[in-house]
Amino acid sequence: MAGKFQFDLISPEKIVFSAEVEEVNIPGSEGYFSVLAGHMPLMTRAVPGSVHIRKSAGEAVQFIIFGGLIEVKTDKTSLLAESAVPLARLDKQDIERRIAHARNLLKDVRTEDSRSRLEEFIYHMSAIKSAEIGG
Amino acid sequence: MASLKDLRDRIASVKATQKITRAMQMVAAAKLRRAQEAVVAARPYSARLEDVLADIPVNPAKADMPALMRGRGRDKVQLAVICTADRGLCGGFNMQIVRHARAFLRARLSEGKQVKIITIGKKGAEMLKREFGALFIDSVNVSRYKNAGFEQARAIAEDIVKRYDQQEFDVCTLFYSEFKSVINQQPQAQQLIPCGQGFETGGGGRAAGEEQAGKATQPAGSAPAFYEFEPDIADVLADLVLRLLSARIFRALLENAAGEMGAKMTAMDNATRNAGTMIDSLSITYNRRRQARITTELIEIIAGAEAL
Repeated sequence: MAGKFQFDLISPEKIVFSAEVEEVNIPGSEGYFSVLAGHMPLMTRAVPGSVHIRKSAGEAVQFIIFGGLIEVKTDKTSLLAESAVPLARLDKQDIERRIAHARNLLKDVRTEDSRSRLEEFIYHMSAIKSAEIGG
Repeated sequence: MASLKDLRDRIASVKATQKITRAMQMVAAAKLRRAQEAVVAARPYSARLEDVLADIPVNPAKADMPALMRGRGRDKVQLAVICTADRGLCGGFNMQIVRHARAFLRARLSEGKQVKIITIGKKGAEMLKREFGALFIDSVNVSRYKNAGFEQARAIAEDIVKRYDQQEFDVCTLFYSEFKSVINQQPQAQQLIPCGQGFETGGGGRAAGEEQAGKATQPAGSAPAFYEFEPDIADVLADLVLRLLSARIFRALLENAAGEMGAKMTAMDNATRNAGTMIDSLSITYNRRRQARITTELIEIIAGAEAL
């Protein structure tokens, strides 16, 4: 199988995940994409969604992130996420709270830029809500 | 002269105070441990972000660099964000930060610059209000939250960015205290905006934290990674900057929380010890006085007996 590379998932509070992995599937702002060993350097924004991490064949972990920054270097990849929770510990109320908070912010944004960003956030959060929790 | 009863009361009251300071010390020690862990755990995130920033090739001519990084090329209006603790009883912790900030503010004012102040934490606001009251534009109250949370730091960062967009200031400097060890907290000034490297303007750059200074001296061409940006560099950088500001404020809050507890622990330890010394010396006076009285009484009795 393909080579491995270092992958770190870091939230402001702590290092959530750090290990050698084979493949990571990340929700980028331009859509989901996969990183394998030897990926070209890339920097992009992450949107709320789920991160699939495959450590080796048959050994996978999944996290839900609420946006972040992805930095891909040839030898290692970092995902700096605002918050990351393991799929199993996903809390429906927490998601609803975040969506409500974003809706609130949406009421008094002025720039077109931040408006579209908030709308994007709400859109992706709703997608998580319906996909992972069902409701 | 104080009577024996007065002395007894005094000793009892000092003992009661000692009990309180000892309890406060233990509480601070427990909180310190948690705060310290939080600081250590939070370091990788901000460190990685600073690394990313250092990796981005800086090109002042390029318009795709957000104004937050580039600055506006002037430093007429200065914003000082001053983080302190909400409570006293922690030695010189708050005073250190305030003194550092005050020196900065006075220097800027004497240069004829306009200064605005945002305080985070009650103590700093109280201490600075007398001298700089007219310059306050906001006081953020963080005591509603038990622990400093990233979301809160982000809200503060968003507020600062909003003010920047509304042309309220040109340069923003963050004051906090770095947690070096339990007995050593170093007041810091870190330039928040503009945050791109090589754009330090005015005093902010000079006073910037050691870490910053260390990075800035790195040779400009130290193998920057050539990234592909998606969808484009402006989009990514705009996001990065907000994240970076939030991370820096978050870090300042955490460092402050740990420093406050460290300082409180030390201060309360000293207070407990002082109370101990005081009790000792009061007890000695009390015992002497008591003995003196017994002796006097005995002499009186003996003298009375002899007179018979």
